[in-house]
Amino acid sequence: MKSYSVVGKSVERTDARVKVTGSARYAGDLVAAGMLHAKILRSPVAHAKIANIDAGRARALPGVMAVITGRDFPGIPFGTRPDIRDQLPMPITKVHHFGEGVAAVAALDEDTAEEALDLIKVDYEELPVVLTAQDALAPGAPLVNEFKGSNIAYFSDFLFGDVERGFKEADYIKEESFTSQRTSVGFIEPHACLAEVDPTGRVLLQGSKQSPYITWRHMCRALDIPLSKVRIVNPFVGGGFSGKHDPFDVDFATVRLAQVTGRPVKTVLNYDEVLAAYRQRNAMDVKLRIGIKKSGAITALRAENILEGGPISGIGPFNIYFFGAFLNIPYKIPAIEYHGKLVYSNRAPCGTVRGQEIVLAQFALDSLLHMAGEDMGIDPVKLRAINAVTDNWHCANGLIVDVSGLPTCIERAAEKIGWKASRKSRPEGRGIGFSCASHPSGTRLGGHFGSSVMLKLLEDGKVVITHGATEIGQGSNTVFCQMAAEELGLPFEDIIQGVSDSDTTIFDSGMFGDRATYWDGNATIMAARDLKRQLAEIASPVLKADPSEIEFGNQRIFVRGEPDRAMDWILAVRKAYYEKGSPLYARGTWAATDIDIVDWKTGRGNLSHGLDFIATAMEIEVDRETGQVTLVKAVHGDDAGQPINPAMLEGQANGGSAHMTGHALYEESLYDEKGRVLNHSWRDYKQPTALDVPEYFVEHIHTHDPYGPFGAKGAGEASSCSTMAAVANGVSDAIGVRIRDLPITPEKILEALKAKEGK
Amino acid sequence: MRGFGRCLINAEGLMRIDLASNFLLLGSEDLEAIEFDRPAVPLRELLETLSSRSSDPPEFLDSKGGALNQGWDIEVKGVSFALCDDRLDTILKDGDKVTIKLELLGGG
Repeated sequence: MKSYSVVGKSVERTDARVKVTGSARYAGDLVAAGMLHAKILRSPVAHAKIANIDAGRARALPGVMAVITGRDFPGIPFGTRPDIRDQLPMPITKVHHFGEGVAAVAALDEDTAEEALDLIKVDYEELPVVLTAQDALAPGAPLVNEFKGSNIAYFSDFLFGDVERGFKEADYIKEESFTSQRTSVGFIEPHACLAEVDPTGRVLLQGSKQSPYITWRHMCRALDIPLSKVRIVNPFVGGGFSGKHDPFDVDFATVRLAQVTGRPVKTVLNYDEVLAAYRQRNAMDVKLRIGIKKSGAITALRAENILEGGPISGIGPFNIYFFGAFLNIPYKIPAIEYHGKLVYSNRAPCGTVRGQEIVLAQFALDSLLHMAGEDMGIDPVKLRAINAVTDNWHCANGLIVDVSGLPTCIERAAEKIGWKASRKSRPEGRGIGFSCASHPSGTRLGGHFGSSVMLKLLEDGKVVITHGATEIGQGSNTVFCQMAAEELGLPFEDIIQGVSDSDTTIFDSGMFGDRATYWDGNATIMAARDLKRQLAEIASPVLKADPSEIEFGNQRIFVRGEPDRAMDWILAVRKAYYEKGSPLYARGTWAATDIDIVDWKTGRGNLSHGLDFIATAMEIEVDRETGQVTLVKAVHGDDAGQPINPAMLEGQANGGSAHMTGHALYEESLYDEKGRVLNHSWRDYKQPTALDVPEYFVEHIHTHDPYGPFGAKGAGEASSCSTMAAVANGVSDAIGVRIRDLPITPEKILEALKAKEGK
Repeated sequence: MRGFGRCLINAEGLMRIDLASNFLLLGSEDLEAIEFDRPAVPLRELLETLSSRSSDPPEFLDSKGGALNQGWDIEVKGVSFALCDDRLDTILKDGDKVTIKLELLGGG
């Protein structure tokens, strides 16, 4: 493996000190002269017509500067796909879920804004509530979304290979159903934003947004203003996990109130609001059927999946698509048939959570594979090794696996967890769950899904890097600085992270799908090469060489093969600035135009480079008396290509897994029969803390992705995809009961034990 | 309606436009070609016709009806819509191909 100066080193994060010392400024910390404070009035019912909103008394309250409702917007719907635009900034004719914002107040202080909410009178005419997928699909079910004539928001039917033949060739066939619950996303910082409007009417929005480009485009459409009339500047963002892509009522209301009042307006939600009314993960119902030969090789897979998604489609079509298309990894499955449906409901709107719906697909697939292996008497680790995709594997849907470290991931994870020894003996109530997963390093969703990076060379020789990928806590700023430093031959400390400002930053499509390290990393290298090209033009006459012979390293610029024929980096910088009067800027873009744009009809295509592979082994203890599950130890064999920052990579692998332990064992957003959320506070909605997760170990399986920056792949979502099946399989291994419906609670375990014992 | 191929204008004066897309053009089903009873139609009419036949009519045109809505990546006879001088009034004749792809705004 190649050795680097900066890449591959666990350097300190660029944002570590400001964050741990409390100096980082998030949207909630921002202030502006004359700023007003906004609050949102929320619907107490899940489904109702809005007969009337009377805000007169609220407007008359001293200190209240404006009150708006859905009717204060142009009424232009927006949506992720142009053929499914089914969202409004705020509802106009009906409310769709408990907690939906129906009005917003801007006042001189928060208390006055809060008091004004109580003075707004809303007349609701309640409608029957659609809670589950079954409700939504029942004949005569009430329609949830007024822009759609059906409660089926989206569907996909994919067929890869010859499934009938695959099942005929199988020596063993197993079919099972699995379900998964509604969960919240789990970022620490609640939604917040500050909006200002300048005298020309141009909006400045500073918010906790994961993908500012997506926010910008949607907001301009729904507000019916030109793109050039909105500027977005990103402050620090306290986590996203796919819960902060879209603009929400909080963003729209804040901007509209700023437009109406002519003053800056800030809105900061409390977390009860976030848990009640903002993005959650779909509930899932899936039936899987698998065919396997005596040898253990999978011959066919059939999946029927329904996702219940709340009252908007959002990125639901992605969820349906990803679930089906990425059944093709991490195992060699020659034939797959997939039918997926997304249905509307009157529960909180869904986006997705870390790992996309590959998380749910892999929970079901790896649980079923484990069950089949048990029935067939094939060791679970061996079964996965038999079917693991390998280098240059061509999946049934056309996805090409360039590099797969999965076989080694499996071997190392099994070895580290002590798999062989555990098969001979293990303590009562202890088991090991094994699971594998893979996640693409970004897919190509359309022509504008490219990444761009800009470098500005300062007079003192330092370089400012700006990109549109958005640091949300995952460390992207740090890895881009490392990559730029490596490529330019500069110390890490000489690369400075610039501000994310749409006026000066080249935007890209955003932070999601494990794409940032890969796509923006490649764009960073392109930008660095552009800068080197410009500097080479300046240095070559001095060094009496052709620009193509110039190389960079250790803050020096030199002729290839002749390190003594060199000049200092800073000298070349000064020549540019002071002799030529030409400050240097560089840019790089990367749009993976060699892979296929997503085909929504068929699910086919070479959809992604840089597949991150992982094998997770989790040691679990189950108390038979209480049903309590303790996660003892977990090992991830992780192939993320060349680690750019090993410490951060481990953080991503372990964090992605820790996040999903909650989904596996206890997280659930609970609703009553009227669609009201029951546990929308941290007192009642439990997420994992450091005390709840296992002792983690990461075995880096070091491969080299031919298209990745320095050979790196994305990381941070594959471990989310492998964890839930590892937990379910571990419980089964520990006490011999299989729980197919998440979360795996103590009550379900005790019920299953009773049933097993015939009680 | 599936699987229409290219053909010449027939005796009844029908002409066909070939279609390609990366999504189901009619919402719940696909369409590979469309017939018109005239020798030439503007792109605008093609899009309005597709919309009228769809189970969930996509809004190809903006609310004022004058421009292509954001979100559609269209090629006419292999040329990007952005480079078509006549925009929505670009004339389509028998055997021409129109490709319509989605421009997404979202991630997960």
